[in-house]
Amino acid sequence: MTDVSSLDSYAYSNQLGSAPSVLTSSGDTDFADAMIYDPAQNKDTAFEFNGESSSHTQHGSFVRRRIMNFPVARIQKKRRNFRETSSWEGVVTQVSDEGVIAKLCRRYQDFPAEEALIPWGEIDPADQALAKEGAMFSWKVGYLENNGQRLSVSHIEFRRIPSFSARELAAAKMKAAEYSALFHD
Amino acid sequence: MIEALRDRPANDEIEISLFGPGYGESIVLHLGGGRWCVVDSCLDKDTGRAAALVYLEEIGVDLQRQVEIIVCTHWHDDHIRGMASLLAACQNARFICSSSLRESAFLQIVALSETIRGAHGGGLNEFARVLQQIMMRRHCNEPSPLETCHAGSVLLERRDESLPLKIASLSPSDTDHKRMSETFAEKRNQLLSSEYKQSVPTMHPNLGSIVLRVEIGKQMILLGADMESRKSKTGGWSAILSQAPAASKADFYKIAHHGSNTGDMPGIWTELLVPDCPAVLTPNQRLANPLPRVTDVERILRRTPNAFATAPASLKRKRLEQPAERLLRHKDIAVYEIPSSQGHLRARVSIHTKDVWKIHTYGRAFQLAP
Repeated sequence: MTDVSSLDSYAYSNQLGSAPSVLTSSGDTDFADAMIYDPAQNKDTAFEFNGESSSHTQHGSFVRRRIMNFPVARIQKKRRNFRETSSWEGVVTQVSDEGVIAKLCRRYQDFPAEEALIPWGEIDPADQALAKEGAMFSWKVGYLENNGQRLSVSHIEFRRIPSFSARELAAAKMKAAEYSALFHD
Repeated sequence: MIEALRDRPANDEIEISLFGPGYGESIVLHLGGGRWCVVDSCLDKDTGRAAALVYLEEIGVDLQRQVEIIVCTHWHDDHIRGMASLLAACQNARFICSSSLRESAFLQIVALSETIRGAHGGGLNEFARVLQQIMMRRHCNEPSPLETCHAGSVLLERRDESLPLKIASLSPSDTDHKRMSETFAEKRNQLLSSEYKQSVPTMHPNLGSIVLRVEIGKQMILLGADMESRKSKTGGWSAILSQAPAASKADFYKIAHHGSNTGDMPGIWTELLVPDCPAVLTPNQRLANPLPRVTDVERILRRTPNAFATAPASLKRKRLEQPAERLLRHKDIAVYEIPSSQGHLRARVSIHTKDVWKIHTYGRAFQLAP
């Protein structure tokens, strides 16, 4: 098998939890016979019709050629799995020079039950601008298994959910009006 | 539950039970004659239910008939957890909240926060659950329990000579109400203008919270909620002090805003309370700003030697599952538990005599000392 390792850098998936992919070949290069249409090959055909003979020249014809079979390229995943052992949904409550203080909530909890100071070094530089009060993020801690090796990994990803849609705003406005009516009964 | 806690107060006995797990506050008041009032709500660690609900059930109170009012002083997480279940269980209780909370900007924030998944809006979502429950009762043609109050409102009055009772709210003042309206409008606009959806930014509704004065027989109780002082004389504690009747002073005080410096004013102790009266508080164990601080405890002890807390203010580091524990220790990141183990202070006194309050501490509760 030909491993096109130089293409490794093109592996598009560098996200946690999904293994980076590489482009590999399916097998060795080989040769095969095939009928190839060659437009340069002219073929003269003679025939008789109602006692009169006639001839016709056909431009191009199929010829037998020996061709090279190139390997078919395909994406193959490396053996790299992420096993999550702890995860939180967090909300930034305060931003300081050392990092962000966040309320942490495990899945299916109504209220946050934990709190932590997360240093800036733990937050991806691309996400640091998003780390404002009220910003939401997911924090996953677990093992990254890479070809038999186990690495402990902590990964924080800030949520980029587009702001309220017109439909959501209209629904919220209607609901707020219903709530307001309760106070005026 | 501890066995000693299972005894119900006598009909002519006032009881104040303060639950404060470290993050949260709930007050259960026996008003005499087997009638009860609940102020705010927090969760019981063992059951995950409202602490007031668990306690009242344990001592055999008929929730549907004996709980008269539920007061929600404000909607912060630590004062509202479990409120919807409390209201559901106490079918005939009136539900009273601050008049600031009927502002359309606030209600829009509540409705918007319901659309943000993963934001764990906490207090806002709980308030939404309360409103949904009231809405459901309205659909069933049941009377609405919802009422609002402001400074000077009388929430409950009983002129029975043997058990006279009056519960009045001393806040929010008009100035505080206006300030809260502006804050809600500002936060709603901030929420709508942000590029990405975010959790509702912290609002400080403490100025809109409800301070209560409870007069039962010869006893008077001041429940400070999370009220804070302001520079303006028409807002915060200053507004309350300026309108306080000189003759009536409370014998028992629930210290405002977890004993913080901003929740205190010398005038509270000189104008509103009798000297050395028992004072109780719940801590607020947060990473950013745990309350009370050592200086706060010293200040409180200068005001009264009879001060109690439901739990210590220090936060407990949480031991996580592996490999998170090992990895985060290596990275020097500590995850702290927002506590919910119960601390309970119970104070009782006779309605008819000016006896000394008998205060018992349970769980993590303790008497403050220098």
